[in-house]
Amino acid sequence: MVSYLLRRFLYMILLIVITSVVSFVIIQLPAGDYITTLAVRYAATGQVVEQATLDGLRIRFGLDQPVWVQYYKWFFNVLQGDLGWSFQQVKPVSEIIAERIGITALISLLSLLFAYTAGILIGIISAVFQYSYIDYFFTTVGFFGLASPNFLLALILMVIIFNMGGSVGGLFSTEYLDQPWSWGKFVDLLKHIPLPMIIVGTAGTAGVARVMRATLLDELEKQYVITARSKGVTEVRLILKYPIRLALNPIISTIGWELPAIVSGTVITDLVLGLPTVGPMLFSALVAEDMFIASSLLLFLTSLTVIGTFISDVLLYSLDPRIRMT
Amino acid sequence: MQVVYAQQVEIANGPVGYGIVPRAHGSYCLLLFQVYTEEFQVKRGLSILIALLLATLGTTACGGETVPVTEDSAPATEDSATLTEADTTEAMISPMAVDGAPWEDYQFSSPAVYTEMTGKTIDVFNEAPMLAAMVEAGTLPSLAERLPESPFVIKPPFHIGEYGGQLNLVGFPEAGSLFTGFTESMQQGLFVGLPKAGPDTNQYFANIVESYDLADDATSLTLNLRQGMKWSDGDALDAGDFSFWFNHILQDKRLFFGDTTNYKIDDEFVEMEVIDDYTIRYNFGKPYKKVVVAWASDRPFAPSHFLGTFHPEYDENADANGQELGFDDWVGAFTDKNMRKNYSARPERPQVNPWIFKEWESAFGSWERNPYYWRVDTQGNQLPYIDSILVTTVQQGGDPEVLKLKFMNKEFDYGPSQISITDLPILRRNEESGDYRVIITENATTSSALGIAFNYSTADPFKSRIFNDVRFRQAHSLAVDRADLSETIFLGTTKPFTSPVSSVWTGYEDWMGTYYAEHDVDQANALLDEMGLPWDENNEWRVNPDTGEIITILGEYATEWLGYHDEMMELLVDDWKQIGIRWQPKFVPEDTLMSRYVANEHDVGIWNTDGGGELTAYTNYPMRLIPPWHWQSCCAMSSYVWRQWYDTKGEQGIEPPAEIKHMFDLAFDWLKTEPGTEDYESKINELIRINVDNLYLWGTVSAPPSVGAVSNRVQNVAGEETFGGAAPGAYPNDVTFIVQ
Amino acid sequence: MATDSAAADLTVDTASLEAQERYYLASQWTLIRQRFRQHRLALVGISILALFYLLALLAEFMAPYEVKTRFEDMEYHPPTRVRFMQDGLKRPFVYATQQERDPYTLEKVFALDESVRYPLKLFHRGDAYKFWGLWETNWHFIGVDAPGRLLLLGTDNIGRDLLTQVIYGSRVSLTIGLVGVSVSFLIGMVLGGISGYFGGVIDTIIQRIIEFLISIPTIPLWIALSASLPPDWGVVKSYFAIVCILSLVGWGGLARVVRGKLLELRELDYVTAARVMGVSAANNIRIHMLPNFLSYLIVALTLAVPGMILGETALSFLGLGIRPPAVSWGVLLQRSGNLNAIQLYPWVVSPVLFVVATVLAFNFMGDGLRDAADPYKQ
Repeated sequence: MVSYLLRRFLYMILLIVITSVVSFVIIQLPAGDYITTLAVRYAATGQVVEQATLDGLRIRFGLDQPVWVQYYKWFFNVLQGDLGWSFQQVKPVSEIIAERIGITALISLLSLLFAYTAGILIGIISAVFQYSYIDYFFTTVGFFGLASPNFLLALILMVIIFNMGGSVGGLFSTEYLDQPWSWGKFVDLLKHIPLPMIIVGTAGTAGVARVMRATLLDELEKQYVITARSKGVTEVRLILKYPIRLALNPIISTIGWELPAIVSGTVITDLVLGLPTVGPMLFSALVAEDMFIASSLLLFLTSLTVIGTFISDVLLYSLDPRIRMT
Repeated sequence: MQVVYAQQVEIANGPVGYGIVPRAHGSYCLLLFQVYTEEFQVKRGLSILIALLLATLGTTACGGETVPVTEDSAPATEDSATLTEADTTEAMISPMAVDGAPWEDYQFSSPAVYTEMTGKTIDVFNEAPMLAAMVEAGTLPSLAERLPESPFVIKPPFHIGEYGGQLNLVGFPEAGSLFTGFTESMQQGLFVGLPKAGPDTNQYFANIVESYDLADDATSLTLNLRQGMKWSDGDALDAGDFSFWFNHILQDKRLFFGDTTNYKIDDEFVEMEVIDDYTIRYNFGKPYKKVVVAWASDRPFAPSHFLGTFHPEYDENADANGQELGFDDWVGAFTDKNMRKNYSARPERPQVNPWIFKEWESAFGSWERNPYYWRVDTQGNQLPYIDSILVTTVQQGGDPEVLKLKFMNKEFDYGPSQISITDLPILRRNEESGDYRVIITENATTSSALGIAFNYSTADPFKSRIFNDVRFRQAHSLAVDRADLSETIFLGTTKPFTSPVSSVWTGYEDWMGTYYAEHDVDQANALLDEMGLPWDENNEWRVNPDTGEIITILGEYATEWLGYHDEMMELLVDDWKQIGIRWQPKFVPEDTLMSRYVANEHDVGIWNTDGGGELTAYTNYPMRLIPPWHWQSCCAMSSYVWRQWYDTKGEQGIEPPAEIKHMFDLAFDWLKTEPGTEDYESKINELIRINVDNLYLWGTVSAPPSVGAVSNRVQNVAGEETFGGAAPGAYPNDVTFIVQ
Repeated sequence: MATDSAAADLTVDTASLEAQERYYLASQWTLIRQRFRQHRLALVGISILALFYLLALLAEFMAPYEVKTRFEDMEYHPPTRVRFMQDGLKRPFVYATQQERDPYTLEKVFALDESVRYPLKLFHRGDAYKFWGLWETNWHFIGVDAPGRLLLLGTDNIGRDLLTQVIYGSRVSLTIGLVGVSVSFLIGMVLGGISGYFGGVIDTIIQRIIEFLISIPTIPLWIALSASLPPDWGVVKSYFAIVCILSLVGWGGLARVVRGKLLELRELDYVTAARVMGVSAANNIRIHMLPNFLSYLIVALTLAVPGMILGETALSFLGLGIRPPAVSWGVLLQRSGNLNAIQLYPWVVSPVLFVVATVLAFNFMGDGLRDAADPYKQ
């Protein structure tokens, strides 16, 4: 057991290193570098683009060196806890991540909460009333969020809120943006947070509802339920007492897989809603080939994925003796 | 306090915006913003009405109470006869001075100049209440100590403003400069030109410096600095800061990334001489008349007291100081602190801007007024009027729609920069509920919405043959239905325009804009028939007469920021189907496209033709008139290898034909001519003529007008007048103010 | 509910006995079919999909116009209403429209011209096209005579019939999912099967490869790939190529499912028996194990397809997907994703209804299949 864990752990480290190399290369694969992106942006805003400036910046950012040197420098710094600089924002990557991660996690967690609450309820209803119109109605509602393209849904909801006179986009109204925390600012946040919460949440509702429905249906067929029913236990009590608890198991045990998603947020919804989260920033960095922030964030996210898988594997193996450890 | 009710006037279909705008010290004056509709004819019989916010009738019968100055804006009609002669094509942005004074009367390098030109005097200087409170509290020196002895005087374009308020903007954080447009627009240069100042030296005044003196033979330039002018941290800005920049930054390749051409004569740096603390002279050795124009927007000085800590010439512990901040040596630290084009992103670096950078978080950046700012209005009020600016930051590449919604919801004072002509319907519809006004200005520096240059240096022999045949280009231009483009994509606001440079250029002639711009498919087909390009058996496409293959042109394009690029290509490709040329349009990420341009692998360069003002051309090079018909380091549209050959004197690249060599020679000779001379005019005229005759880079329709939107609580907005040369209506400047 | 069914059991005793008999004698597939029919949403879903795929198949004929047909000066034309009534019931017809530009907002304003009517015609002869690129013809299912316009969903930003765009766009959007999923399916099945059946070193190697592939970030890969494909490949071709390449990377999840299932099945007695009796590995998997988990795989696949359809629209939004002049649902949605469209020309957003309907239909069908997949389960 110990040697197995050790082996898996070492492998996990190796995997993270290999993935970081691959991501680093992939990010640089498209032609040009951040400086070419910058040149186009200068030109697009009607500014003069000078070769000397571009060359100078390239030297300053270390982009004149071969990829492997850049990788080595970056990775060596990461080991020392220095995640590098963002070219676009002229700030340390760690600072940028720190500024955004809290908000991102908050929105993600609230969306998850929404998705799980709505999903579990819909799952229970559609399992208990299987093949009835109630089932069909709630299933359709539950799946609607999954079925509608998030960016359009977000935009349409924003327009509706705007037409009703509400403030949309971002997390705060402008008046509270640079203010310290206050009751007013908190209320303002509460006004802005439901939109992303619902849009991101509804997309996940269907998945939860589906698992809930399937496992609950399985449970409801089991002997103990039939026995209980024949003994005259009321239907509500019958369902709530044990089957639901058991049916929740697979859902709760997979919650851990959401870890990377909690940290990164969703790219598209956040872009449309103009939220200062991690997802849009990663996307922007990738498109602009803003090397260090993109690489560091990807490293961070892959580490979370790999660690998550590792933990779930270990749990799985230790819980189910039938599966051999290889 | 008296309030005069604004009166509504209805002209044509234009609703009327109005506001009650307070005077500097409490009394309110009537303001009336009137919307004009201006009619102008577009060729082909399409007449279009463009409603246009032009100007205000600033009737200010009430004077400032605490300001002991007699001067005030003259009645609106008084000088209207002296309005600058707006040429007809520029009708949309005709500089409408409110009280009709010529532009020269709006900015004065010093109070003395102001008095000399207007006969009026400024006796007392005033400061913002916010600063007055700080002075009172003892945290700030008095105004007299902060202002230079003779500050720059500016007459606000519409009204004397009122102090205070926070302006809400939205922008992208970007490297090079945080919120590019905004920070660029608030930065001042050594000299300042008239609104549409071309390369004419006579149209430039001293700006950051108090006065300048260009020797009669133009062999030396003397700058007289403003005595008592301060950096934003209160340290004196003197000759030492100029020599620090000139000797230790400009000439040090490790520290200066820009182009040094304009500081060199015959490849040698010019000579700088410090005469006293407030006088410096640059000696050129030979006439250099262009210097004023070339240096106008530069800031050839740096805060030596601040940056010196990281420079070994000024501080022997420079390396140690740098390492303390986590850099390898002083160079890293110095660069970080100095960052070119990025003054505003380093809060601690002293500046001379109207607002200084305060803080920057993930969701916003904020600026606060510079207490040491060196400009005053004609009543002696130290500028800027606005206390602080809050910029909500959004991710580059983010969706602009949310920003437009937030703007229409009154959360921002300026519309986001991504507003374009296609947003006009929704902006106009919400004008009233959003309490803002839409500002439409003609795009003066962009000649065409989308320009096309075939790759004349292509390696494919057949394509090289047809691309280099002018009839091929003529046929393509004739096939374009420009009226349809304008109606479908630009709400009918553009007109046919093929010239690579806009009509305001010296040497531009009226026929150039519409050369081969008519829609004549038959003539186009006749030209291609004449070239010997037969049709295929289905009579659908033209083929290569030698191989029988269908001629296919890979139309790779990027220019995503335009917003209309996809539609434009779709329509163009449909048009070219009429002449049997099969285009395969393909969107390509800009980075990839640039690498294809440079590698000479593409068939055709497709890009919008912006950034091509005459002044830019004269101080750099006429990039729209010589291969690669764009900046070399970005977006080299066509025949990059020819330019490479010319620059490396034949070492790299491919030798261009004689005519192209002649164009290069002409262009670089033109840079050495003096503005206003016959030589200057004839050279640039010949160069433009060669380009137009050959349709090397030819345009489709004129650039759509720029559309901006500004909250009604913000006044003195650039763009309602071409004020200060800033991007029209896009950003505030030091005379912009907020109605309290 | 429980009492209801009990009562029913009592009254139709003989009928239920017969039903029971049929149940025990029926083949697995018959049972799956029966079970599937019970799920009415799934039936609705499968009908919608059948209709949409039929539309895609016959796009040239079903669309009122040819995909490239543009009506000059008719950008953002609102949907034309088909009318039946005027002085009593009439043959369906549409009115002509007139247009002008609002001088202030510069938007196009369309007004009905009630003096001119164009009757609707079935099997109308309109724009010429090549059916499946083979036969030249001009039959359209429905249409009106020019210069009348039948714009059932209005026009898009440059004046093309939106319904035509939607129908043509479905070709790309509805097939992209199938292509991507089938590539992943093949690889996942084979490698997952090998991994699960043989175990040992092979299993370990394949598992490590899967873990590696899963941890490769897809968005940067997508950006990189779209920049490095041959430049003369068309937009749609490049997109299909990228989908295929990503499927080559993305088979890991499916392989894991297959492996897990095989690990479980492998230990069952009848499989062990077959192995001991010398049945080859391939045959053992194919004959004895595959039927046991095929239904699960089909469900997994059905549920993967709508993800690809949504992915296409999402990538178009990010600017990484299909681009004009190619037509796909993603392109149409991307074009409608702006304030002007939503506020002033809401019909431009209508393609989203097709996307939602398709994704819902796939999901319902998948759920129905899932319920039916194990017909012996009560």
